[in-house]
Amino acid sequence: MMAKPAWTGAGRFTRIPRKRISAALAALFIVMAGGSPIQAQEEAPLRPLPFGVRYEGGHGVEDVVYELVDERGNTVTLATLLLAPGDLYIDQENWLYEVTSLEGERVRVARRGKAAMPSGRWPQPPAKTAAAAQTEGAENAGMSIGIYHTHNAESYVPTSGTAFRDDGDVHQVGEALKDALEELGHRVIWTTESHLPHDASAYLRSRRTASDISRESPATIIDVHRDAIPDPDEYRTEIDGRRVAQVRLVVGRQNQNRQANLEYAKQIKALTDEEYPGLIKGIFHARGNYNQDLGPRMILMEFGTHTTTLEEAVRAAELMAQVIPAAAGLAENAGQRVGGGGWRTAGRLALLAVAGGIGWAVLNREGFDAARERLARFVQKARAGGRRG
Amino acid sequence: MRFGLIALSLVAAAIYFGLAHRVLDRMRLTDRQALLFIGLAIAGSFVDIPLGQRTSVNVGGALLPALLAVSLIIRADESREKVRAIAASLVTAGVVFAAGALTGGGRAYPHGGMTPFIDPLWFLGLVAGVSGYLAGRSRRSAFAAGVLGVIGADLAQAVQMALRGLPVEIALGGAGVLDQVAVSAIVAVGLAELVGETREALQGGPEAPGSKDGAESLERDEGADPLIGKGEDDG
Repeated sequence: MMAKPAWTGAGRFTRIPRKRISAALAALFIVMAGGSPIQAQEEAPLRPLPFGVRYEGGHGVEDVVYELVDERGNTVTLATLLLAPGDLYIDQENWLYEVTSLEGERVRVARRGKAAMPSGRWPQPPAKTAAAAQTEGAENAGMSIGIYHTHNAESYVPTSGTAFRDDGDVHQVGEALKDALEELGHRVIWTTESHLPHDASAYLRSRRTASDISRESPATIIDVHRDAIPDPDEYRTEIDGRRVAQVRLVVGRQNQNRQANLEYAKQIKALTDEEYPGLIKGIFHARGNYNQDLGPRMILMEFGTHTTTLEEAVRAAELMAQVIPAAAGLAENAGQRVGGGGWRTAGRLALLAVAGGIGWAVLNREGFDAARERLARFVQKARAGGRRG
Repeated sequence: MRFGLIALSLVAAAIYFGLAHRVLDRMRLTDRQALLFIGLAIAGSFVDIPLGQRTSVNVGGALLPALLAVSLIIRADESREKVRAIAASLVTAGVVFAAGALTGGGRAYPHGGMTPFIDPLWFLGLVAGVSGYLAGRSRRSAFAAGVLGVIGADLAQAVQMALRGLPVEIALGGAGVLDQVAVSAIVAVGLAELVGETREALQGGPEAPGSKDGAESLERDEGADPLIGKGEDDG
């Protein structure tokens, strides 16, 4: 094909590529740029890790722990997740906090009132969820539940003597969750596919695992982790006289499913609060993706911390198995949902796509050319009108 | 699944595949060919071909995009463009591999490797896009770099895992059409498009042919070179 000049030098375009990357490109960039800049901090030396694990970022035993402090100076909670202004936290009592600033290891948060939560109403005892799943009324009856581990090395020091090992204790937590769900009659896809080492590509490797699971159209996919808060009492509770590790839910807010996944997390918490008060420690709605763009019912769960025991985490997994099916729509009419998240986000995405398209049209050469001509005509008319006046 | 979630999935899919279509439309494919390519890629997402040594390649997520990228390089009219596209792919592979390894957790990047500002999926996509565009300086070079760069980084990681003896499977393009390969290619071409259009808008129009400017290849008749983009037939 012969090259033709795009520019004749006579002030006009003779060949202008007309099609532009669609409007949604700008929308995607806006959606993707949802996070806020954060200040990188100096890395701390960490204890020896399994071969191939450079760091266990945010979960290292000597790693920094962030303290969330409200306007009155009260400590709301501790976190190893690096937060950014705009991130949200719903605590055990459903108080909603928003991160306002970062001051080293102190994270300033502002209380925004009570979070809107579903009712947590159980139509039947949770133990009957398997039977309910067989009913036609269950939203996702017959669908499976997926479980995987992005951080395969996570372990519990009191049990294994180490916080990390190649075949981490967290696999046993996932297995306990799987066994308990299967006991209730649910089909479970559980994988211990390794995604080591824990570099920035760990979530990209686990993305392929999550994607594999999602091809089976599960009702929900759970990424099972454990946290790294040094004080075990921060992550412990007692249920029916037994010590149990608490569970924290993490929802990434840098993807299009963030609202839907947040509502799902709230649903899990509301139902759990009703049946096992205190089991859910809280919900982080923070920057990051955590592969949750792959579906509207993707959730990351932290079962205890490295200083709680594996047994406590396993007990938590067994209890969570009673709740997850109902929250994922595998049981009939389980609780009142906070509605509209899917519709709202779909609407916003569509609006962003339209806005991006308009912006793009203005940006591209034809738009500028046309806009310039229109402006010139307007000025001409105005001048003519002025002269007549 | 509730209707709201279905609507959300449909809108997100429409935007994603709409973007993919616009990108493919720039890659010497007609509208129909681009649609067919997307269809094949979706179907191919369910097919993994084992390569041995705990490595596999996904047909829709890596093989088809790689074939398209290689064909664009082969069909480039000028050897300079071929070299540039290959160099861009190698540079991108190195940069993506290093970015993934260097942001591996610690205080600055917690939670198993959070990258600055945004999630690794988007961050490494942008890294691939920036390095692919800067090294290739055209839409099609950016595409080739986005695809081949990420696959190259994955292969480097496979070698790294094998050397360390880690039991980690490297699934090239394993997440199919939603893999980082596809995301990086879309981001890379989008970036090339955005930068190219912005430059032209700011300077009031495309530059004269023969310009030595770095954005030269975006300004010339794009139908002339398969690594640059299409011309009038874009419309």
